[in-house]
Amino acid sequence: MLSKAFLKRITDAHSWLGLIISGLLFVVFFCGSIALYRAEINEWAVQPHFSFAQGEHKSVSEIMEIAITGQNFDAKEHLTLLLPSKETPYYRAYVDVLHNEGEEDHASFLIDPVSGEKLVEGDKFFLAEFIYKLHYDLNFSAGSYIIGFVTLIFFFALVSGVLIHAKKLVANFFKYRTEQNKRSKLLDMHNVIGVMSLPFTLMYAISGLIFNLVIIYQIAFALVLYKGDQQALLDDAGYVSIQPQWQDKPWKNIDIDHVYQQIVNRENYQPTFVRMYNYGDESAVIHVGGGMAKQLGGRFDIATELTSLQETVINDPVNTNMVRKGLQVVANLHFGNYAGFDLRLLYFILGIAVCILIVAGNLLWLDKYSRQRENSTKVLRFTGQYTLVSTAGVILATAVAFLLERVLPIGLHERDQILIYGFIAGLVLSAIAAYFTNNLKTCLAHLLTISAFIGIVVVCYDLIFFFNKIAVLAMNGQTNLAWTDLAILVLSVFSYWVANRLTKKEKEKLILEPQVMV
Amino acid sequence: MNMWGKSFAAIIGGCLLSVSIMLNLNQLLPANIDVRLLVGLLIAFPIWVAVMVWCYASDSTKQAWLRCLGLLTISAGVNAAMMVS
Repeated sequence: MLSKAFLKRITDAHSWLGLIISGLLFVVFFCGSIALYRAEINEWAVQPHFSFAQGEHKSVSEIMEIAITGQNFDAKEHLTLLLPSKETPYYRAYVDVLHNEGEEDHASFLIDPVSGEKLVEGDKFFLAEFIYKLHYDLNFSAGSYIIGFVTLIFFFALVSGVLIHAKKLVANFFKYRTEQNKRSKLLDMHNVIGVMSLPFTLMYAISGLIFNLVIIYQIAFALVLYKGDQQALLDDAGYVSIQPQWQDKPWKNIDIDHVYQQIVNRENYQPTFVRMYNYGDESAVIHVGGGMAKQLGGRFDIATELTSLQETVINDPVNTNMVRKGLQVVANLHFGNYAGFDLRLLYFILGIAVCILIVAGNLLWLDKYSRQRENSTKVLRFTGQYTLVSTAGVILATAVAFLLERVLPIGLHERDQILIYGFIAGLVLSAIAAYFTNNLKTCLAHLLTISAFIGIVVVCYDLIFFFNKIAVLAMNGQTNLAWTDLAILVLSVFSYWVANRLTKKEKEKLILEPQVMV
Repeated sequence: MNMWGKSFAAIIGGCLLSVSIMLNLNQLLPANIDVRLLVGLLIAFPIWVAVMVWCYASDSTKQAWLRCLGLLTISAGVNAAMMVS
């Protein structure tokens, strides 16, 4: 049995730490839920602007030549192609270029696989990547460690939450008191979501920690077990690095396409990328990688020296290192990409449910704090504002980013940066609104209404300017554009509905309060 | 407020303890090196969080540190013995 003193200390830590990380944790779950569909969002951003030719695809070697033409290509580095698929009907090329310190080290393009036309710089459409980066590193390099520690505390909150709730875990599994007071409702909501999503949240906490904080154990293991030899550790973990020595002799009688076909024609191989090392040199190596059909965590990576045709199997179903295989399973579980669209929808719903759990947790803290008369009203107000900005503010900022991704001209200089500034502006505006408002609930309703309005503007914009495109693409089986617009519409209507209910409740409160006073 | 003190003990002490215990497990588990590394990776963070719970459940910051350091001394002793042997 857990003692009362133990539970009290753990409850204090649970609520104190939960409040501290709530803002960033909301960003992680909200952006992570959206980022489950980052491929679809990226297609939604790209496809209205281009028409892709129908017909036979150019070969991989031809696309490589097209990619490096006109570029200051650094052949001693890499040339990477992300391959087209049914939903992504173009190549995405990354070309490493000669550069001075501080300059961009690569160029990227979208390439039509049929005509070979370079469509646009690949980094122009940044929305999906931006939201994904917010999820795991807040869009700056040290951010991954911050998110790592937020995840660690989230893991602690899960374990402590289970301990606090352990006695009632089963008995109160479906308990939700709608007729009781506000605190009971919030507590039930917090507990029910917490218990029901527990397997999902535990998986997310552990996998997130492995992604963001594994470096701690990597350093410790390398220093102690491998006497500082990091490469030996990576070898044992199955991370084979491809580093061919530049020979300075041009390649002869090379058939890239033949080697490529020999790899990808193997049973169940589903290639997603091709990478060339030392392109044009006798030492050139082609690396093809991707997933395996019908396997959770199945992956293949094969590198072939183009001159000698010697093959190095880095990863395949037979020669699989357990670390790589295990991490691949962890990644598949984390990204929900081991099944179809419906699984990711379930992940999305659970992710948004955790966002609600976070808000309910903060409101519980505020309620508890406000009952203690000796506590400062300044702290209470600040916590309310912090909760508002880190939740509704993030929703508004995301809506602004979607709008900018759609309406900004493609040729605009630093289009990706403007999108980031738009997101920050959304956050700043909501912070200003939260600072000056007298009623945080009304302010929340307004922020949600504005977010919903922006979402509906985005959908209307698509219907007005790209309706034909959406219809043609849908008829060709490319439904990302239509589905994404529908999702934006549904979420906007939902936001408006929540805002409307909040406004109604506040109005009822205003009508009731004078009667009570009388 | 001793919550900050406990937090330092929980995060720093928990990290050191989990690293030390993982190093021991890595040496002791009768399996291939890749399996041992994977097992280490999967249970390192749960160990860290278990230590965090232990620290926050302490009466005071001092007790949290004493608990961490006590266990760390034993675990690090085993680490040292294994390194020497």
